[in-house]
Amino acid sequence: MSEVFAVWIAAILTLMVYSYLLADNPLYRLAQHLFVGSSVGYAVVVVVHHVLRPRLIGPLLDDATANWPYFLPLLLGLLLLMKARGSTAWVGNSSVAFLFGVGAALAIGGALVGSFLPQIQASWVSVSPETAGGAGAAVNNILLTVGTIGTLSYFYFTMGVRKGPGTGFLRFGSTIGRWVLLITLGAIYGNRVMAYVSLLIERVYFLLGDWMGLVGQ
Amino acid sequence: MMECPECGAANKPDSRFCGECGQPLGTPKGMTCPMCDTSNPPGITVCRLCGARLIPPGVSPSEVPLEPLKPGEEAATEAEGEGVEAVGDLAEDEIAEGVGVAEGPGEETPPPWLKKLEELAVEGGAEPEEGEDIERGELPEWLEVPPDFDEMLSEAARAADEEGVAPAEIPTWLEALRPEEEAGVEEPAEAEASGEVTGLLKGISGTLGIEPILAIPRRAVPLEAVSPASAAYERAELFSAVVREPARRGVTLTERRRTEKLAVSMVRWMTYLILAAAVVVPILLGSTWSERNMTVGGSATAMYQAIEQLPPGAVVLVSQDYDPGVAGEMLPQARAVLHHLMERGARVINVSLTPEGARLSMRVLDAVADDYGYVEGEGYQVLGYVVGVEAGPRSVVEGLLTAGWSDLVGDVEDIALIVEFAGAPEYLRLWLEQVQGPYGIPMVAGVSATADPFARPYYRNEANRQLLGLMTGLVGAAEYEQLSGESGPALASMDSQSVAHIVIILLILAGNVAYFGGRLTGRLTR
Amino acid sequence: MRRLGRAVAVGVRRSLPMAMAMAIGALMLIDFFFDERHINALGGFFLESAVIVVAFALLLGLLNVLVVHLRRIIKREGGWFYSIALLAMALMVMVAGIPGPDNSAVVWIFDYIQFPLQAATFSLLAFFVATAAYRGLRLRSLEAVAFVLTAVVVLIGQVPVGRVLGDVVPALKDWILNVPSTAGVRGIIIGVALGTIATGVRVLMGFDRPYGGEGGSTQ
Repeated sequence: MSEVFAVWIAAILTLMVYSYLLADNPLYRLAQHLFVGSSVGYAVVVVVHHVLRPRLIGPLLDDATANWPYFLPLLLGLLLLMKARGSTAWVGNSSVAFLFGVGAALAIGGALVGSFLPQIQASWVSVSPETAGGAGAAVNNILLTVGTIGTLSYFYFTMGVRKGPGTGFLRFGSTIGRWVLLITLGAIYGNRVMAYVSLLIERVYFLLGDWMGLVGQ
Repeated sequence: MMECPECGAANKPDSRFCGECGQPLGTPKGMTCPMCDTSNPPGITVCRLCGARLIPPGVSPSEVPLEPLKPGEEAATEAEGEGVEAVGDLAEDEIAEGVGVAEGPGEETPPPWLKKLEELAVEGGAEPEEGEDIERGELPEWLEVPPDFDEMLSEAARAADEEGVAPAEIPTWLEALRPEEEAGVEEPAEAEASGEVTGLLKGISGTLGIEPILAIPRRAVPLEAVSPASAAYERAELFSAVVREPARRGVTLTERRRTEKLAVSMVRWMTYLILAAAVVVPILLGSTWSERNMTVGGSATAMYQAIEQLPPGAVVLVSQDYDPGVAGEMLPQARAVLHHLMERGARVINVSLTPEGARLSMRVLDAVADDYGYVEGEGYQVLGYVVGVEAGPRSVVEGLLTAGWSDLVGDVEDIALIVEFAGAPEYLRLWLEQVQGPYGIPMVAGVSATADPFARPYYRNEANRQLLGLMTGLVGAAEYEQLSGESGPALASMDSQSVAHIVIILLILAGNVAYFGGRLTGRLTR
Repeated sequence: MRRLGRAVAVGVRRSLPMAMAMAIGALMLIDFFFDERHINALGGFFLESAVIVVAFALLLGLLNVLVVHLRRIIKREGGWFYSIALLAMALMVMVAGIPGPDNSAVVWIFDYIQFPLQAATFSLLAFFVATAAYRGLRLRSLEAVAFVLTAVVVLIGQVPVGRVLGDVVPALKDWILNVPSTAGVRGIIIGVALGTIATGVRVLMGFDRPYGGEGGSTQ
């Protein structure tokens, strides 16, 4: 019985959100506020129990002397909380600096090793039909490389390159890049439509199936 | 009209870049530097004090002034301590968000980035200066709206407009996002006013702000610095974006205006109904055409193969990084793949980079585990949520390798495969950059369809095989179900998906017919 | 004398964060690329610490949202009524979650309140896409045609129905996604990666101090 109740709650909330399609209205706003409230509360619970408790509080409570290094993140964390008030915000600067230091380093390393180098490598593709696996594949490889370079020159060019020698090349490259990007945007758009439709389908299945029972599961 | 200093062409007053030659035009009004908070006079491109760029490095010189909200799925979502800087290298897309994590201004006001959050949470009346002036703590105008949310904004704009609120009350950024009005016959030269005005998508207005994706800062700099939870931030922002309409007023409308508005509303509701019908009818009819005619693409097959080739007992690290917003696509994916993994006898270690993912993971695991006699702690282990920043995935692997988080893993080679479910490209990128690249662990991914284009280059990397397989959206889940021979929710949804796609294409056609037809009639009646 | 002391204090206050960022960042970079036992151990510790501090940052942001709404209720500002609902919901979840997120009450709220709300909200986008498709995608330029045509091919090619017209459309979709679209995104990825590296280096070398201190924001 409580299952039915729960499904009804879920269905009503879903419909409250959909009421926005008619017009913005108090029910919709209420629904959004409930959503934000719930999601904030839930996130707090998860952060505390999945991160802070096992990885900080746990070790410190278990054996504070053996695990003394954990006082550092505890301190940094508490200092960070000082950023809540403007007057004490400066106290948290070291914590922020720490995060930036770690984060910047990881970002650099990751971008280099995980994206930049492999993607550049990918562009050095084979253009001979034998190693590429067919004439079509070889052509595609060439197109890929040309398209990538074109895209890069499009960005470079629109950043305000001073007129001068060599810009003709750049202009040509960026024209190619422009069209490549247009197609890319079209693909992104098409995929996004697909995604949103899928999300709608899920909710419709819920309403028709779980709630109204019109569709078997 | 603004004249370009380089080529002299005339440009719209709010332009950032010359539509002819692409040179930056400088800011039309005075602008506060996001890095050092000095106010700068109009027409200059770099801050006179600290040298930071006041305009974006021109990834897409779209002129649409957009609300300085947080980018959503595609990009970093935390309030950033990094302003725009003048990095003079190639192709910087690293427009970091410009909330200076300033030392407190010394007054009692909360720090800028907090104020920003506050502002986001404010609903109700539109501040007329929004998007025009850069107040301390606000992001510069050109930081663009998250692609996901601009639809809501344009809807809000439309709703506001239809309720008879005077245009002046609508903030400019909202105005600019509004799709073109129905082309009335009396409209001569259709202003390219709405939608994109320069840049790639010039003249197209229904693109839902695709271009900003390019301009949106990718995690340029570690974003975890004093950032509110990206999740909560997104929420606050999403809801405030929708809620942030001008207050209703009791404006009296003329008769004609009312019928016009009604007509527009009718069209809107018709469109909604058509789409709803496209989804509902196939479900109600219980049609299975797509199921019977499902074909499978190469990337999904590759993913299936990668898992099929796992030896029994292989240790697989599964990361479920999505939230209920995209669960419609991702849950069927996770379900299909976990069925396969457990059928192969793999041992699963499950984590999540989103708080909601922790719970959603449990849903899938609990549902599937019973079918294969898996018991938590033996067949699969749940490590829970880790923070969704660079340090997160890395700390998981470090924890497994050095801190002994799991008996199953002692060494890098012990992890046979990483299976990542990414609701947004950033999560996929985190795993690729922080784990797959440095440690070289084989990896496959299921992604939301919105993330597919950003995942492809990693899959199509013949030199480096970063992703061994890729599954896209609900369709990908259906393909996987097909390969597994297990009919499931994804396959059942394919008819609705197909019909809805067709309907949308027809809507595009119909819209164009209506538009061009209207113009033709207009010309003929002159 | 006191002024000297104050100057030193201010100097330390400003440069300490920067020095910290640079030092720790340098160490983490070395840890990232090299295998040296002691550095790796220290790096691992800093990594773990970073996760914890980020968690504090998340908490800070989350609680701030609640404080903002609390203030609104107290001051009876616009929409404060809704803020009560928001706060009530959040408190309910947090209290129920004291024993942990696997508590049945929390799970219930998540499954039957948060999930439907969030899923429904994002599914609204499908409707907006539909109206945008009708009202916005005017084929007024060659660029527009290229854009729309690509989108249409992708849309048809992704679904089983696309095969009705023969294998052409899905094959074309595959080509579009695997060649031009990949090329474009690859260019973006490379560009962004370069930017990330550049920005990161600037932060680590002290040219940018987003965390306050000299050269950063005011004061």
